[in-house]
Amino acid sequence: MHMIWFTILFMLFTFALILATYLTYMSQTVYLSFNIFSLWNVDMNVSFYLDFMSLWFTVVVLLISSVVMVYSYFYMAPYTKSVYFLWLTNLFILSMLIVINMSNLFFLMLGWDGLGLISFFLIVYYQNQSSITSGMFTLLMNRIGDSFFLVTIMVFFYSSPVLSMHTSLKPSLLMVVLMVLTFMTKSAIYPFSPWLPLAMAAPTPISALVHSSTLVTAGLYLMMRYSYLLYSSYYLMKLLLILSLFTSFYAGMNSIFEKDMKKLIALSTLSHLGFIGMAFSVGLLHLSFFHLLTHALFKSLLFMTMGDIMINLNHAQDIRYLSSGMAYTPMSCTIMYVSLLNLLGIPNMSGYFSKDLVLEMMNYSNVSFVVIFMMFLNVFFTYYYTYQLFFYSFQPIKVFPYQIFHAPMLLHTLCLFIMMASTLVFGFFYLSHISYMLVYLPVPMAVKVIPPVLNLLVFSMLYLNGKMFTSNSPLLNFYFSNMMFLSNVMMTTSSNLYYNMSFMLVKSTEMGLLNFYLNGFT
Amino acid sequence: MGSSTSQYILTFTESWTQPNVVPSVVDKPKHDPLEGFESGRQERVRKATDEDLYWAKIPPNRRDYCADHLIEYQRCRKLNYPFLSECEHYKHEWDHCQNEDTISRMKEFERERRLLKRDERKRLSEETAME
Repeated sequence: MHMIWFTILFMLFTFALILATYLTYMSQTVYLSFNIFSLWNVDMNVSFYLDFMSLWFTVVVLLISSVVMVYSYFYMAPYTKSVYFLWLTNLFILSMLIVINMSNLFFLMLGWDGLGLISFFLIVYYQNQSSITSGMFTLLMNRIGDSFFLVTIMVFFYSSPVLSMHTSLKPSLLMVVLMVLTFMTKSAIYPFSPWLPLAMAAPTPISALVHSSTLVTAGLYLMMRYSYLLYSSYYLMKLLLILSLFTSFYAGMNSIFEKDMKKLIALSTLSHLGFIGMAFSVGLLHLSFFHLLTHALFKSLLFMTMGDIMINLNHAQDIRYLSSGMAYTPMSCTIMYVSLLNLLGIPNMSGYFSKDLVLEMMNYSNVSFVVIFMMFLNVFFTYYYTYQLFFYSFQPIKVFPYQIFHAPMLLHTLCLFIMMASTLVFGFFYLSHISYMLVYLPVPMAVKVIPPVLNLLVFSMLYLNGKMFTSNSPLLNFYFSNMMFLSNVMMTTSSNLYYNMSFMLVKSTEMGLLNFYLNGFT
Repeated sequence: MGSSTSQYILTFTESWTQPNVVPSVVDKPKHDPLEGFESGRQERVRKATDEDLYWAKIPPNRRDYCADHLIEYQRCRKLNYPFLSECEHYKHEWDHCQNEDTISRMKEFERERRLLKRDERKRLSEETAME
């Protein structure tokens, strides 16, 4: 069944690629609208808007989905509920495609809600205590966003009953604020960040598909789609800039003290989401979209190669066992290094093209020195945790008693090769063929050399020191390992809030007013 | 314009210490563009017409003073797709025009900043003279 779905998804990917290339070459868009019903001035249309943004994101999502289908066949083989897994994964992909291509807000909400709900079922797939806690937290965080979305639709409907993306209405501050709050919850911008590292309780193929490239980027993608509304509020974009920067900083600080491989990559994803949010809030719309795509590709590749290594450790996720896991999978190890080189921004990789362009173009924005400093500090953190992965992979190999050797299959490795080739080729292809109208402005030499100098600095710290520069303070370790306790605060707030509100609602309405009026006259 | 990293270390604090001398990036310049130019200035002319831009499908944010080069670049791309290395010359011309435009905008910003600094110096000297 996995192979059938891989074939379907790969065919869809090929079709989307051809359509995307053609429409980009012709500078055209396709607008498909099906009228479901119309009542007075309200038209409910299922409308698809296929422009270069939606199509290229569709291409990337379908590529990752098809590769994850094959990957999950080998990864999830010991588990007997694979049909249930396939249903959930395919429903998720369908929801994501709805969110990407739909231009009507009402039907987009169907996809949006579907993303949150299905990601919950995927996180609790293993059905143990930690996964149910993580799943409930993810669900509650996503529901907060869904409730903001509902109110957004209400406010939008008041001005434009058609609920279409293409509207000439002047956005009110309330609408814009609600929209940004909605998209922030899904994309884990501070303070809605803690659910993402906790969602690593999901199986690794789900982390590769959902938590690196699709679910978390849905919010940022919709921000880019509705940028013409969001850019009207100068101060809101400034606030988004600060929150995005802090999200990156928060993820970076926590990653220094993190020893769980999957959580480390989740924090890396969080850092990049903050980076994309920062680039978007400053006005670099096309560059932030470019980084969203390249990040999706190399991050999902990193998750998949990490999963290969973890299989050999009986699913142990400690980073200190990395070298032992890699001893039996040299090919996955090499492919992981390619993904890490993208993270480092080595020239001519996709990560270099997208990330370094943003770093350079930030010099032409009216932001303060503090923003630039924080941005380069976040880049420093990126280099730091990437070199941590390199470092632990070169440690002496120890064989553990519970270690099991899984022979990698040819098709499985071939999929990873496809992803690796896409990370190597996509950046250059996108810049030259798709986004050719980008303006390359000169930057001072001092600014141009900051990323490679930081890179060499972290590398030399590692090489000369011989061990990683982490704190031995138990207090700092406790604080940062628990994600600055934000997850505890948000969990308590969200669960208590919902519990108390639902209790009051039931007590006052169902058992109170309704009971009185229906039964209370006697 | 004039991000902190493009300025020298001593000048980046001006936005806090002397806000009157920092040109606004939101509002129009306070000084007349022809101030100090007795013989006038050469007017910039956009060579591409609105009709050319419409039929070439140039996006609104790229309809600037370099749009004529962009139209040529786009025409070359469409004729030579996918062999885009044939169009490097047109791309370089457009890039060069954009860089020249950026440098001229930086110079306008710097001119506005120096005029504001001169006004501030005059104001301070008048206040000192009154005291």
